[in-house]
Amino acid sequence: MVTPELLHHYPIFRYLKPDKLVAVATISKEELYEKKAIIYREKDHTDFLYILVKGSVELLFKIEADNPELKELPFDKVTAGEMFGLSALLEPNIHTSTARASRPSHVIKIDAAGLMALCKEDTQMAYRIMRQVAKTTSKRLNATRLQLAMAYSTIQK
Amino acid sequence: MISPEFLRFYPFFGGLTNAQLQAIAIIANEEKYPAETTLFEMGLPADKLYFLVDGCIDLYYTPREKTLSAFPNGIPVGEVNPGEAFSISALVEPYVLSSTARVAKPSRVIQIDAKALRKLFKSDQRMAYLLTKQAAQAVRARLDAARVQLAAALA
Repeated sequence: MVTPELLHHYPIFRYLKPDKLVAVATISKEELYEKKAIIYREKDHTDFLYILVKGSVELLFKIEADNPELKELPFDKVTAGEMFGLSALLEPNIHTSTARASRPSHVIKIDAAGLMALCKEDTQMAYRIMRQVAKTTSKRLNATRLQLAMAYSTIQK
Repeated sequence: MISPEFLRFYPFFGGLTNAQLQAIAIIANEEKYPAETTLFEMGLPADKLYFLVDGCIDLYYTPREKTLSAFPNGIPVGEVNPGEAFSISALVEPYVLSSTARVAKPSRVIQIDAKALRKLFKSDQRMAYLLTKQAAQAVRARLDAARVQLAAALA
């Protein structure tokens, strides 16, 4: 069972009042994924927001390529403490990437609809969460652009 | 200052009340820039949030390592079209610009003082939530475009 104390460790929930932490804990559960397990697939409807407690998760997206080895490309890695499945909080609520455990991983799954309902009652909570969503998405953008630079650098040589 | 009604044209401000639009209009102004102007550079503090009224702006990414000879001015990573927001980093921590913006065609922009806007957020969490959500969606759109570019580069 997810406890409020566990949620309090993570930046997205660090500033929540105790009653809100309890409310989020009741709509959350813990899951364990083996190495190479798919946590969610690109283009699936989003039902959960995830936080990685321990382990490592790769984010991948599909590309059209003649090279069969390039069917799915990793573009970022989720490290312990980070959240993923952010599309759960952004319309149209469709996963824009696939998440796969690159090591045995322990995650917290939070019911996205329940979280949005709590946010409707508490705009401060909604803002704090959306700040983290924007920050994490920006980090992913920077990581992808860096990969792009490395790809062009390789082509140039 | 600009007219609050002008801001209504932009979906970015959808959901804001008249009072909220008025508060933002006070800290905004309109500017014109000729082609080839560098509006802002990657790595510097994001002090303004911009909206393109007309014209065209190109965005470039410059990796920290040596410049790529094929892209002496940075890697093109997007184009801003009329009606779109840019310098989204002004609303996303750590408020540092993640790309360089250069005017491709003579352009007219709305510039919003980002520090003043973030100060408004402290007293209006609903505005803060709505605009930060718009920023998150805009960043996600840029991420989708970056992945398409990456896929093309690796193909």
